Amino acid sequence: MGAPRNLARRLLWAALQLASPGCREWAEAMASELEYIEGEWPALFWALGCTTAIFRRCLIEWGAQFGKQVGNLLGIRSIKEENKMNSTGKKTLGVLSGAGIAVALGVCMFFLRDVIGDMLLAVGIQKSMWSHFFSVIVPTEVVLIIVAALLWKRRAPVSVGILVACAVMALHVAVTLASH
Amino acid sequence: MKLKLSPQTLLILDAFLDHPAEWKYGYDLSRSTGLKSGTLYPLLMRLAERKLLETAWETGEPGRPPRHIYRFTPEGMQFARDNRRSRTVAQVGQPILHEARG
Repeated sequence: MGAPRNLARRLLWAALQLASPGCREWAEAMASELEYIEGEWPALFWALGCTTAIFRRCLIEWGAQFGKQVGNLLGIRSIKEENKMNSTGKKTLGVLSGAGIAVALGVCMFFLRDVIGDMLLAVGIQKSMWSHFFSVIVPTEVVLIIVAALLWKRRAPVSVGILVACAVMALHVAVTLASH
Repeated sequence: MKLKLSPQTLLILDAFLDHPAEWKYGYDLSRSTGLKSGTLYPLLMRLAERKLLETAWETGEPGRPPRHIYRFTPEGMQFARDNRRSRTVAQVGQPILHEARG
């Protein structure tokens, strides 16, 4: 047995451990199907696809559970909403993903601020609050707004998540600027 | 029945319609439709959840694990046939509509 197949087996085994009860049978089906695939690399690509499918499924289920718990906590659950819980879960997951993407980009830009500052110094722009504002914060916000606009039609919840995170960042910047 | 019929879902329905009574394997479906496992399995799960597909475990060859197999339920077969019919009608009707519009 070659390394790719070994890796494929390990991947699916790990995915199987994480699989929720709802998709455990499917995860087992994918793992057993692996043994019928000829070739090392096709087996690895098969396992990669299966692992993605299992994780996506788990995320949707966790999102649905999270939405349900939030609904329970807020006491806003109705019979109609209960029927739509699956879609609510997906939407919640979408909003959280959007916010996560925005925060990740924000964090990346925060860590890159010194590099950007040095690049600006190289072209003769001194480090200041305003150089930081226009070279780090404004581009981040612009990129996020463009991404949100592009995603609006196909992934509205993700878009909303990005815009919410964007608004929070903008508010933070406004408060910082006002306090200076 | 509400089901998002993406081109990939249609490929799967067509693959099952070719031999509707036969049980099929995931890997064979992947090869016949050209879909990757990451696309194929979520669609199979959705079809099974909507009771359009039935699933079972087939005893594997000696020394190999059992295999998950799939085939249409009667509702699934009906749904796929209706869908194929409506697609055929739409495809036949389109040139006529274009000609009528001039």
